[in-house]
Amino acid sequence: MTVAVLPGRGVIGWAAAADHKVVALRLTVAAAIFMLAGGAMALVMRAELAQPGLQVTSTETYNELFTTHGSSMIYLVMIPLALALGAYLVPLQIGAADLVAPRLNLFASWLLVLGGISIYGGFLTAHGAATAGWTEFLPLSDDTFSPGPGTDMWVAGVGLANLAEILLAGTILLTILTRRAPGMTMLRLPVFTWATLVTCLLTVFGFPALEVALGLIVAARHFGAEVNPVAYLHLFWFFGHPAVYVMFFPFLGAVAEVVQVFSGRRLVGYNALVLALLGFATGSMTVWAHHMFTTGQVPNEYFAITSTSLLVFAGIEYFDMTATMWRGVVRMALPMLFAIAFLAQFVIGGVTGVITASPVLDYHLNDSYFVVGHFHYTLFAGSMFALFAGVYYWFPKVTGRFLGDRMGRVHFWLLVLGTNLTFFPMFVLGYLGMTRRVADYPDQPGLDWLNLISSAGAAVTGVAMLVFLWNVLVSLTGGEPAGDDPWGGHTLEWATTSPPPRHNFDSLPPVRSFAPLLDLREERTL
Amino acid sequence: MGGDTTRGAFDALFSAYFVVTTAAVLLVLVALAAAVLRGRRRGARRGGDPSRLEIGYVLLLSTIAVALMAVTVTTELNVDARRPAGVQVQVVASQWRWTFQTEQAGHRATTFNRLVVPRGTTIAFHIRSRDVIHSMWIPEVRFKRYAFPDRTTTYDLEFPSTGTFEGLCAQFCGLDHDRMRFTVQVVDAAGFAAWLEAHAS
Repeated sequence: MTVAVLPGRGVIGWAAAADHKVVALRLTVAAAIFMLAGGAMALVMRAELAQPGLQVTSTETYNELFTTHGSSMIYLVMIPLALALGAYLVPLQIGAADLVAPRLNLFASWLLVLGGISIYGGFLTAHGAATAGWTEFLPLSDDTFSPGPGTDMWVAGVGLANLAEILLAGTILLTILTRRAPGMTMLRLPVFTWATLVTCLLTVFGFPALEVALGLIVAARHFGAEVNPVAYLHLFWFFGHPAVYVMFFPFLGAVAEVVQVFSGRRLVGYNALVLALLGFATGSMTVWAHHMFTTGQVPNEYFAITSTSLLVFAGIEYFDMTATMWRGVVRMALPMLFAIAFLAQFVIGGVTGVITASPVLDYHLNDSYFVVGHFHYTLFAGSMFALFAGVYYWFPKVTGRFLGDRMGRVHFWLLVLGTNLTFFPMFVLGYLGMTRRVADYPDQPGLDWLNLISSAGAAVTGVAMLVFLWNVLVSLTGGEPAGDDPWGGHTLEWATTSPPPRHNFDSLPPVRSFAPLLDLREERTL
Repeated sequence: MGGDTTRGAFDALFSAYFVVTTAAVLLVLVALAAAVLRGRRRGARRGGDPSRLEIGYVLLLSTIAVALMAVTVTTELNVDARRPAGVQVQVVASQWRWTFQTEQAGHRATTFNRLVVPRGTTIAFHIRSRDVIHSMWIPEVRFKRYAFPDRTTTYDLEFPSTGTFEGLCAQFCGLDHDRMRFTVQVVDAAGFAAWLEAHAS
């Protein structure tokens, strides 16, 4: 498979390429490896939690596992994948030859890999990997309570990954602002590119706060600084909440593209959706301390009001996508199946977010399994399904081949079953009083069988992911050839070859709307 | 909304939210199913401009959001309002143990991993930590609060019924976090006075 022209041959050529497509694929491969590792850890944790008592791991190992699972999935998997999608697709969607600053992107992709190696390297040190969760609150993460190099390597690794993400977001943002094809005004940007634009804004404005928070951990660990723990919470969540939407908007954008193409029409309410994305992103910078309702240190009313207001923007997005299907001709191909499952499942993550946005409800549900269920419904039942919609949709563009349809359908149904079995019982577990980040829990009525169902669901999810992996490996070389535009795409990436050449386009069609290829097809049939 | 207790306020508010959110999920599922089914029927399409419908929909959503904000903020201000308390409890959380110093009318008793409180009266809790951040959670009264090492935080709780309940640390605090549990024994006023007198130091 030839993805692009490389500087040199083989693995070294691929590792040193600065082409945005190779950079994006390199990030994707790295994120996929970290996802496999993080997913395997989740399976070990669910095995431990299947019954009360300790059977599989020690408490210490469990603490390393949940810390590295969460850190992987957020810093090394979902955020990089969100940006990798943009790094690959944005230049193609706006008719550009590459991202700006290609060598900076090359550099950033390796920073991320280094960051991941540093986090995982902690397992090889005397005290093991970091154990204070993906949040590493102070003073728990200082040298008194988390001795050993594992936590230092975690800090270094997250710092590098975060820097990589800021750099990538910056170049993607600049590319959108400066490299658009003739005729492509801001209100003719494809929806996915708009979603990526707001994602990059959030990354550029929100993520530096994490570097400062990490600096506080270093100051506490190595320079004896007494850090105000509430200040750390503010800095961390000022990054942490926008991060949630960085792991959501690009995938939502992918679903919006899929919904349009497989409904055979332009998106209904394009302007409303763009406005909603901008409002959503702006609003999401004002909600961080809803993670701190139970601290007694923040004005809860303010953060309850800003957090609840976000439901209006989410509602607009649902309206526009449902209306697009309602008024279109729906084809139930695999990308569309995943897109619809995303919409159906994400709403559960959304409404449970509205519930925890209410301080009095959060006083009970905060730090419980209810919250674990909530964010896995947004990130896994939501963003992951949307990512799969995008992968099944764009795989033919990247490789020139389809992903296998029959195996794809097995993957889909197993994943729907596994996901809901795993994460739905968590809402009840949290309500009943089960707290997070525990290897063991009391043998109380309800807790045992609900945990068992959740663990069984995790096993099904694991099988589904293996089916997908197998499908990718088989389809890379043996998949059905797809041609340049197998789905009847609307946006410019479908106007070039699959895979695209190094410079992306030999010629560009005129851009008169946010669906230039659909314009061309409609002109021809007139 | 709801009673004056954290438990009563939570239960009433949660019921309201449960109805609204369940209705929203069902509505989305029905709308998606309808759109897919209609979209799969070939033939008649199009129809008028939906932007008026969308504006109406946004107004409806905003109304729901404002209603939720109103009820949630009112409940929160009521729950968080300080009340005169006859019983004071100093809570010290540490890796991995709870220390409660319970005081009423000059009598003071210290207990570990066991909290004894009277039913039906306002109790003021003053919580702090000796080391890392912890969080004191009593699921029975639907309430938890962080314990910080550098500051004391105060809140009121009222226990509506007698009995023995579970308490636990909700914020991850290191190796034995999952074993940092305590029991809450809620007794009647006379029983509490007798207990306090017997255990006063």
